[in-house]
Amino acid sequence: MSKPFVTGARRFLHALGEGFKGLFVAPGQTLACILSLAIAGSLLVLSLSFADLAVSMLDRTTRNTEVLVYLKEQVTSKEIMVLMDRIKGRPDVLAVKYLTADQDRALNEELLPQDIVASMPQGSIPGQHALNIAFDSGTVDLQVIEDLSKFLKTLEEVDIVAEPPVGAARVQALATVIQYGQVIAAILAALLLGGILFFVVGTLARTMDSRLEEMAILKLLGATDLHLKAPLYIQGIVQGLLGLIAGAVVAKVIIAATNGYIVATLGLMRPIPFNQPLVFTLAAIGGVLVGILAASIASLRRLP
Amino acid sequence: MPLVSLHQVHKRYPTGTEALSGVSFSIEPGEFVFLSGPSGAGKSTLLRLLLHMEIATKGDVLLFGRNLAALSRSSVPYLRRNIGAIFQDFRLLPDRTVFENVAVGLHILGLSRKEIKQRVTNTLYDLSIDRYAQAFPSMLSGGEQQRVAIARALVMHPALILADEPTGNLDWELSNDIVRLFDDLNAKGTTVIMATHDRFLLNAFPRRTLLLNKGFLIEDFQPSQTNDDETEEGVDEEPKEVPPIIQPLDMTAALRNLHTPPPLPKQQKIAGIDGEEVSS
Repeated sequence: MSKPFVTGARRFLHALGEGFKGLFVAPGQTLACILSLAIAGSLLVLSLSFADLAVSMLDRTTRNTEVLVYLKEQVTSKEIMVLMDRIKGRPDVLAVKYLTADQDRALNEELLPQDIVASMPQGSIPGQHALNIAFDSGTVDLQVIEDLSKFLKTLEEVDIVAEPPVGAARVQALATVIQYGQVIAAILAALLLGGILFFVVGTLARTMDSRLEEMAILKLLGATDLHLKAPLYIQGIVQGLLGLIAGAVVAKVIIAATNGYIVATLGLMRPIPFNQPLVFTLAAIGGVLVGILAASIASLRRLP
Repeated sequence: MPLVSLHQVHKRYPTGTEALSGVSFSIEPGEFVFLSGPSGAGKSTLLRLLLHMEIATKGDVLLFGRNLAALSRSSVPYLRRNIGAIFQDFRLLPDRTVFENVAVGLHILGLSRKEIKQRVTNTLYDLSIDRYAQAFPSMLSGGEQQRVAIARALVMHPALILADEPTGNLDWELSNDIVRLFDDLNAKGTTVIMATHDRFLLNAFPRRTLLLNKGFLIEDFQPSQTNDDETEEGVDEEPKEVPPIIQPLDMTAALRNLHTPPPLPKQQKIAGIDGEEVSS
């Protein structure tokens, strides 16, 4: 190994040691910092997860502006083409799509919880060829869908018309409320994180205060700014990482417990989503950024 | 090439205080130079300029052949690694042992633990404080603490030692020990610049002296060393008389000397109020 590399590695290890020592200069304050970061981090993750839920609810509400028309088994493809053209001719219809029995079965599977699907015998989920009629969700009202539904029921080729949803507007309103709530929660969590950033700065500044004399001596002995700042950056990054990763763990536990409750007790099919790799990666990146930012502010204020 | 060279250096602080006025001199490698003068003469400012803790308002300060005013911020640490700075108040870290205090700067160089241990142990041994390696500064006497501060500077193997009143807090005997230590280092080739207003020390160790007063370089002279042995024998005793080289501290006498310089032995150069050098 080259000498500059070895020297650099030794300097880094020394800075690492000094950075960890810094965590114990004001242990109470450091712990409070990590806990605050964990709370803010978990709030942020929870608000984002609820946002995902809100988005998926909206998605389902949008899907509810579709009508599924199940066709009789003996209807030929030629008859289907004619039927599709007739329906497409109506002014409120956005698109008409033909679904095979397998495609319909797949959609039905999607609506069920995976553990239930896995426990069912192969082929037990029903599927029937159908037409999926989509409306312009921004303009269509329930009356138009009901009128079309009545018309479709009169057609010879049609077996069943899946009834248009009742209360879609309510669900959409609820999803919107949740989305607003999520935005507010995310803003509050971000503000909290911002406030905690200065708390971290305070902890680092305290470490610097305790090392001011040492840093002044080191400067006279020929320490570079990087040498003086490195332990501070390491301390900040460690605090940020510990805090935000702890926050992600707390959020994961809360979401798992909540999902257990809403699936088992409320019978909801769609649990609160938690993308573990994404959340932990973002927590790690966030922790590093919080540490770097806090150390930069602290060193700007206090470096001799 | 001189190790230190100042040309027409002025230093004015933001408060308006003119700490140095037109100071010019140069110091060759291997010299031992005292900076002397009363409080407020500009000794500490001069050392701070050499340490790049201050920048000259006007004039050139050259150290190791480099103009400090033109030195980039990133180059300053590398310059300082060649300088051992020692202060009157020792500046030791109270919560670290003697060993840790001395080793504190070696991490900057990226040395291994073994190298650090070896260097620190050797330096502590050379300064006869190896038995205090695990002691804390508060457990040591003033003289021992100053030795630790000197060890911290020496362990970096500096080419130049800048000592700002290093004996200011020490009694006569310990002061003598410290200067003798610097003298030994100087004999091994290290350049030493030591600020002191202790006239007894100047008498006991007749070395080239730069005499400052109110920011002006009044005299630059090399006192006679003919009675060197006698003086050194007498340093253990409190000097009875004020050494003659320190007496002309009042400005009138100093200025008179400037215009009609006394025939000083080994005189190198004399700088006047306007900073122009006058040949002796």
